[in-house]
Amino acid sequence: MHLAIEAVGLGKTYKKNNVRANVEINLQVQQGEIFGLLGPNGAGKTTFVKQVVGLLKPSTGKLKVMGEDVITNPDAVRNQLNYMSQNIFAVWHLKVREVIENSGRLRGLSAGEAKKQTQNLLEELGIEQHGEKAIFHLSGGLRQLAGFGAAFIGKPRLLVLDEPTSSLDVARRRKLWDKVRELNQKENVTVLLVTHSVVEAEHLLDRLAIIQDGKLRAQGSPGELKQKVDNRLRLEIIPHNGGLPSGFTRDLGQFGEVFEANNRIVVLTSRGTLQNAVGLVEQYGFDYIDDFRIGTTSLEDVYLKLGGGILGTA
Amino acid sequence: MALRKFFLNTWILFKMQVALYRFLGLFTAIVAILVPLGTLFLILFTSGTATEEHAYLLLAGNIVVSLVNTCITSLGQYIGNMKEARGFDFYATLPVSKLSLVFALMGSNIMLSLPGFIAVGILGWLILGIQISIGPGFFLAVILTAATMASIGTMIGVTSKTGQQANHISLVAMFVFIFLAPVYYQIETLPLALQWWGVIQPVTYGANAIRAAIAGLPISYYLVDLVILLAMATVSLAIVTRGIKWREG
Repeated sequence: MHLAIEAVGLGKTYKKNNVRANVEINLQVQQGEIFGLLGPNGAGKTTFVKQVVGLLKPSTGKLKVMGEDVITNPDAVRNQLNYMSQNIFAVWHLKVREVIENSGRLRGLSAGEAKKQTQNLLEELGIEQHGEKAIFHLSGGLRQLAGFGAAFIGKPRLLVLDEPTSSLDVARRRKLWDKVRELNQKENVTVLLVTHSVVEAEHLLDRLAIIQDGKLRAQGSPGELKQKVDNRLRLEIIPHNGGLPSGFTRDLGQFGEVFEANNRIVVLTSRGTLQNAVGLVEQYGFDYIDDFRIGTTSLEDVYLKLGGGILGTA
Repeated sequence: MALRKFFLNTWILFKMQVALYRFLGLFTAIVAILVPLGTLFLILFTSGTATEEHAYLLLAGNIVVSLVNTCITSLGQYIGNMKEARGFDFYATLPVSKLSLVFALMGSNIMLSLPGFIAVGILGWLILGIQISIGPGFFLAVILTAATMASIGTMIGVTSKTGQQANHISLVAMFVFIFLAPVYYQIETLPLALQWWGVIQPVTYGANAIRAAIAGLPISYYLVDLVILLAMATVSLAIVTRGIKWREG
């Protein structure tokens, strides 16, 4: 499979304050996947993205995007990617419809096609009623949706989204995730997504890299990373208000590591013994519990183990 | 094909810039009119009645002031603020050339000068009693002067560290280009140091050409001024196009 992004020994040091924003990043994004950069604020995610879209010149290393060298051939790269930045200050005076349509025209769409795609995007993003409003009249979330429209138009080969849903409510966020997934699956658009939301990462990403202090801590699919950290299964039991019968927690101990967290009993157990643990729950009866869940190690667990910083859970 | 794309992109970017005046509209027009008119009134009140030659000097000077005001001050401040807010990122990641954006910014600011031109023309006719001749030479002189001024405004914007710094520098530049140059006076009447300074100033040639054009003189009369302006515009555009950094260092 061809690579959408290939970074080899990529580094960025800001000369002014001698801050090393990126250090020796080696990373590959395959064409057709949704790849995420996960990390806390100031970890170096946006620096990497700016290098990918040609806004920031790397200090060291090599960077190819869609097979083109970003440093020596930035125009060829720009023709193949659409970028949604965190701010659209330059077009604050334009109407939402104009921002999307003009972005399409500047990416080479005919007037008719740009108009048609703009209308579709306004409808799909649920912002048709705001189409004639200027960007500066909109709330942060609606601005973000307008930015999304401008990034989506023109069917890019690579879509780069920098914290795209940070200002959106839950319903709109899910709608956007669906749209990103649809573009990826129907149009084979590669997506590079920067986020500090574990939920977003869990929901959307095929593979991800965890970045902290400018360094790449780990990369792989969510499953691979979870396995790397802890391949045990997780049985979570949420007790009823009356509490659990005596001996229940002790008996669970024979199936693995048991601990209490956030008023839940957590059992970390192997695949072979999970069925026995569930059997024990059944034996004691479901009257004692409100709910129980079986899962693998969460991405948040992975991040905390590999990255060690603070992540959003929104 | 590439040339067609260049002009099409420039036109789209120009329309995007012009849309700004939809919201700033009236206020922008008032500022664009007030600066040249205010200067004209000031000079008229302090110098009394004007001869025909003096009247053309004043009118051409005011057209140049309009251009300086919009193409250096307004544009410099706008770009400075946009740079500070990382507004260039939006354009820098689109497949458009820097020159397209520069032309669009210039074009929209030349358009911004129009209300000032019209006001000056009407005032010249009403108060000074002279007719203004508007022909191809006039438009050529205005466009070349504006291109040079806008290059300077753009350079101020892109080299300033903050929007506030761009505001200050563009105001100083406005003073230098209006009052320390032969805009309202013939170059020979200035002190020797300012005469030398005037030789390297684009406004000198802009004012000369515009003055001759509105007086209805044939284009051959101010061809040298136009050629010098063309050279200055070309060099300044080349510098400014290199000066806008799509990338940080």
